[in-house]
Amino acid sequence: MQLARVKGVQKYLRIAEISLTNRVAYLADHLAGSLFLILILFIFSQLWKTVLRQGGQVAGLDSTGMLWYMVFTEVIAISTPGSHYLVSEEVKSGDIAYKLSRPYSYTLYYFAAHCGEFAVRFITNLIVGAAFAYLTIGPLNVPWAKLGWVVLGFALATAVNFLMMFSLALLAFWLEESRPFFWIFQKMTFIFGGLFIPVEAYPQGLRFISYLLPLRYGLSAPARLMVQFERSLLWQMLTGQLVWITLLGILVWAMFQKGVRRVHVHGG
Amino acid sequence: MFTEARKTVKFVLQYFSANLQSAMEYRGAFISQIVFMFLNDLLLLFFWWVLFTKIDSLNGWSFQHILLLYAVASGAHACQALLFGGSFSLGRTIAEGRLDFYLVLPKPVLLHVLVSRSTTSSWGDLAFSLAIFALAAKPSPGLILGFVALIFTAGVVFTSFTVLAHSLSFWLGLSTGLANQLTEALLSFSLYPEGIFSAATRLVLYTLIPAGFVSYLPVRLLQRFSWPQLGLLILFALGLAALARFVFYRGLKRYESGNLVVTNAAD
Repeated sequence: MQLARVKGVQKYLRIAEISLTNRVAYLADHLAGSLFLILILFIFSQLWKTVLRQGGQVAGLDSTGMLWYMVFTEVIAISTPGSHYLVSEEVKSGDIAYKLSRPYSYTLYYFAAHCGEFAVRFITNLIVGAAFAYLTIGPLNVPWAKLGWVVLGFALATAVNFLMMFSLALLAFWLEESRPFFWIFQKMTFIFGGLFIPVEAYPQGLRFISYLLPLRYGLSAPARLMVQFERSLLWQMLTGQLVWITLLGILVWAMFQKGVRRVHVHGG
Repeated sequence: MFTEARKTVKFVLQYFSANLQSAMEYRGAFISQIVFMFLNDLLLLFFWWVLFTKIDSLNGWSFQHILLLYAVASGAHACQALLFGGSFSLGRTIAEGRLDFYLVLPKPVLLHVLVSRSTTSSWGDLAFSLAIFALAAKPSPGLILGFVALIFTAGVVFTSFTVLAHSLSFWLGLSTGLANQLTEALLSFSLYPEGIFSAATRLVLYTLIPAGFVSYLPVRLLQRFSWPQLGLLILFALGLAALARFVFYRGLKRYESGNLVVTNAAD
C-alpha cells in the first residue's frame, strides 16, 4: 500500500521533471522573454525614483525596497505558466477525453507540469530581474537566516496560483468563452494581488478585501516577506495560504467531478 | 489621385464593415468581450488612483493627465486593432508564406493584409477611451471629433511601428517574438507619463520607440492646443507610415511562397 503511494508520487515527480527538462531546452527563448521584465522594471525604477526621491516611503518601503518588491511580484506573475489556457482549450475541444483515460489524475498531472515549468521560468527570470535591480538601484538586504520560510511561502504561493487558474479554466465545462474571465482575473491580480504596489498602501476597506482574497497570498505576501521580513506577516501569510489551498482544492475537485460528467465521447 | 484615395477609403470601410458583421454573428460573445475589455482597461487605472492618493503631482502630471493618457493610448490601440488588425499577425503571415492570397488580388498588398483582420474586443478599448475622455475633459462635440482624429493619427503611428517590427520576418524568418516585444514596449511606454523619464530616455521615446507620438504629444495637444505640435504629429505619422510601407515592399522582394494550400480565415 505504502509502496503504491510512493510510486504514485514518483509518477507526478517524473511529470514535473519532464516539464522542467522541456523548458530547459528552450532557455534562450525564456531569456528573450525576460526582455519584457526588464522593460517593466526599467519603467518602475524611473517611477519610484521620481515619486520617492527625497527619502519618501510607500507602505513602509523606499524606492530600493519598492523595486525589489516588484522584482519578486513580477517574476512570480510572468513565470506562472499559461496552463489554464491549455486546460480551457482541452475542455472546449473535447481533447480532455483522451487524457481522462490515462493512468493519472488530470488535476495532479497539470499541477506537476505547472511546477516543473514554473521552476525554470522563475529561476531564469529571477536572475535577470535581480541583476537589473542590483545594477540600477542597489542590493537587497536578503534575510538569509529566514530564507527557508520565504522559500516555503513562494512554494505555497505557486500552489495557490495554480488552483486559482485551474478553477477558472474548468469554467470552460459550462461557458463557451472563458478568456474574458482570464483578463479580469489578471487585472484583479494586479489590484488585490498587489503586483505593482503592496496592498498595505491601499485604503483600509480595499486592504481588508485583499487580505480576505487568495490573490495576495500568491503574489504580494511572499514578495513583501522577502523584501521586509516580519514574523507577524509570515504567520498571517502561511495561514492564509493553507486555508486557500484547502478551499480552492475542494472547489477544483468539485468542479472537475461535476464538469467531467458533461463530457460526451463519440469515438472517432 | 482623388478618385484613387476615395477607392482606398471605400475598400478599408468595406472590410471594416465585413469584419464587424462577422464579429456580431456571435452576439453574446461580441458583447461580453466588449464589456470585459472595458472593465479590464478600467482596472488598469486603479494603480494610478492609489498612487495619486499619496502624491499630488508626478513631475507636473496629475491624475487628470493620466486619464487623458489612457484615453489616447487605448483609443490609438483600438484604432489599430479595429481597422488594421492584420498588423498583429503580419510576421506570421510573412514567415508562413500566407501572403500568396493577397499577392494575386488587384489591391495594395500591405493595406489588404492590414485591413483583413479586426480584433473584436477592441470595441471595449474604444468605448473605454471615449468614456474616460468624456470624464476627464468634459468635451464639446467639436472636441470629441478632434479627439477621434488624434487617436486615429496615433493609431497610424502604432500600426506603422508594428508593420516595421513584423517586416523583420522578411529577413529573419519567423521573428514574431521579437516583433511582439517591440510593439509591447511601445504600448507599455505609452501608458506611463513622460515626466518620470530622463532626457535620454525621452529622446528614445520620441525616435526609436515613438511612445511620445502615440500618447505624450496628443495629451499635450488636448491640454494646450498648438498648430506646430499638431503639424509635427501628423508629419511624423505620415513619415513613419511611408517608412513602414517602404520597408515592407523592400522586404516583399525577398518573400518566398510556400505553395501552401490554406483557408484564409481568421484564427
